[in-house]
Amino acid sequence: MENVISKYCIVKPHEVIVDGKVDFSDSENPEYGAFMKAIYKHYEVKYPKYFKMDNLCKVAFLATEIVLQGNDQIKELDPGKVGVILQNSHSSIDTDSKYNDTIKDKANYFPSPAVFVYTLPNVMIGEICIRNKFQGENTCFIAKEFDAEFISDYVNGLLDSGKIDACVTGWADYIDGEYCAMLFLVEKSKENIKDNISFKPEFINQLIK
Amino acid sequence: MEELLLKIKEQVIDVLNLEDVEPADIDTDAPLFGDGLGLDSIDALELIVLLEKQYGIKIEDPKDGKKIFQTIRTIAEFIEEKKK
Amino acid sequence: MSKRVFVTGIGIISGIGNNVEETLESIKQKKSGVTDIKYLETIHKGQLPVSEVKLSEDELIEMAKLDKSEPFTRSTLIGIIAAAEAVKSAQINDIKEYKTGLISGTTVGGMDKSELFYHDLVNTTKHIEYIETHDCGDSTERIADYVGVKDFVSTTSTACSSAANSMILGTRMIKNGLLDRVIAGGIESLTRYHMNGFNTLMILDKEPCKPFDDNRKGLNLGEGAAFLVLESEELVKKSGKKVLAELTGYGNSCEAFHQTASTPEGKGAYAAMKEALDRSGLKATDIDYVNAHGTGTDNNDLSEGRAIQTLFGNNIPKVSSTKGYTGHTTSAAGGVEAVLSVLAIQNNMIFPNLNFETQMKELSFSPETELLEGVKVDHVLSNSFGFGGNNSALIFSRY
Repeated sequence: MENVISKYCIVKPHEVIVDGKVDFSDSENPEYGAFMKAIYKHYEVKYPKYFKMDNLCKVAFLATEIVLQGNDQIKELDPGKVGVILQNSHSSIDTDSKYNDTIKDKANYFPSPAVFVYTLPNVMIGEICIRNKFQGENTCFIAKEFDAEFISDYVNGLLDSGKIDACVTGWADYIDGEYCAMLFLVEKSKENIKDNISFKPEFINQLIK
Repeated sequence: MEELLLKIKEQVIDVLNLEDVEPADIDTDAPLFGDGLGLDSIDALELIVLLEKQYGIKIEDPKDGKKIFQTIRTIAEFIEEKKK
Repeated sequence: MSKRVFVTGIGIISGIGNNVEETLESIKQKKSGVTDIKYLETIHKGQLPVSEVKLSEDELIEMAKLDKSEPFTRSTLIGIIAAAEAVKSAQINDIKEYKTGLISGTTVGGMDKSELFYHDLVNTTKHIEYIETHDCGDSTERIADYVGVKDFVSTTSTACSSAANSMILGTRMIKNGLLDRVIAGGIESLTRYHMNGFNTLMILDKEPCKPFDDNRKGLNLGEGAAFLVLESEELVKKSGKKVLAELTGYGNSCEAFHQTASTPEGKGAYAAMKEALDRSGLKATDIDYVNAHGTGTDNNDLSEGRAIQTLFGNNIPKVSSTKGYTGHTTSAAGGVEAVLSVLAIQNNMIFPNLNFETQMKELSFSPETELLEGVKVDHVLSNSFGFGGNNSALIFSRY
């Protein structure tokens, strides 16, 4: 049995790509926050906690929402068997420096707890898991760039060993207004579905080109 | 008092990033935590920062927040009390 | 494929010692590393106690015989010292002889230097060489260079479960035949940045921390680095070298509850421990000692305590948190406590939970407060739980 990409989503400046097609674009809101909010509204995400998230979590969260939309089967799975394995290169540095701004001035020293909780890359995984009640294995790896070989090895290993039945995986990175999320829902192949793409590095790299 | 209640509602909306919530949407006497606005322990800490930053009131033990932050009115009463 | 994974080397540096021997001696003397801040430049000096490595960076550089002109962060320096000790303790002479990996957990990365030089770097090129030391992976690369590892180098970043997850990843890579041996653990030096952060969350105790005490007020931060050398069964058989312990179980769970808090009933902690136990094939009654995460915060000790009760029922083994000794070394904690777990087995010893006075109302058990020597310690369960609800548990067993 091989593991297949049942849906994938790429969120990059001004457009959302779902399964290879531009699904939403908005050039009127070039600024990050406004574009994310446009996505939130377009995909009718109803989750007030979204507005409390930091920039990195927002893009990772929305890409996950889109990947999971219309997928009722995932809700049937054992929550302990859905994993979230992500990679990025700038960790949580964008929020780290925002937090630093709240503590650097002695005369205006009001460190923000709500900012501090986002100064870890794995909190984006946490947000995805809290929203969807996923409780399977989760880890955030730091790498210079998206490493399809490493991620597919890792995720396929988890699926093949039976440790998880499905996985939200891929890349989510944000720094200074530059961002990109490429998230895949990977599941064990089902007999009646033929055109799903195998979760192997050569195919993954083609999809994200 | 009414003026203070409105001001606190505006500040709470601002610091807690309560999107699409207007001051009029918040019931002065409804519980802030639990079901109400869905606030959590981090929000409680953020409210402690709000009191210090905007009203110069310092809360040392986070457990004290439980009583103070029950409703918008209890926050207002606490601020009034401290002003005296 | 290697069915079993063995610990053949250990290395550690923390507030209670610069190597394994000093660490054990401090434990025996009930000597805590938690004191006033000496090395970290912060306004909290004299107010918040911490457990610092008791060496300046110059002294660390000298100890590791490094080139002073190279940019090394404090995290990297302590990482190098602990990893080198682990390699030496495993009697590895030629690291390239077998396929070897190095996996290090860190979350703060090179922040200690970034925050120090930030203002210089914004306006000038002074300290520009430290730019590349900021990211988490840089410390891992430098440690790998120092000990000569080239085959596989990776960094895990899952807050306070980082080091435990490094060991889990390493173990799985050995089991799947991807590596013959792995140097796995974690590093974290104190920074203003995360000290202020934890202080913002109002979870730092102004006194020495009191894990599992009804009057606990929070944690003390600590710094440290600790690594284990993990080897495959085949390699150990071939070399006939001394095995310190076997890593028999591991589990990782996600609570999906809150960014920082655990569920009050400790569902995630329970799931991680249960998974580790099931994987090891042991029964709950086989566990002799639980080296708890026990940070001393309201939330952790309650949820972890309840999870321990759920797992062990009426037969709760000896439990203690060693955070009273080392402080909470965050990303390194899983490594520090793995080394302590191996030492517990080797020395037939159970370590005291320092500063405990008052039984928690919600729990039926209290932690061990005395140093127990000459007791049976065949299986140790070690917990590490991180922000984001990433919980890990490891089981070390006598070989």
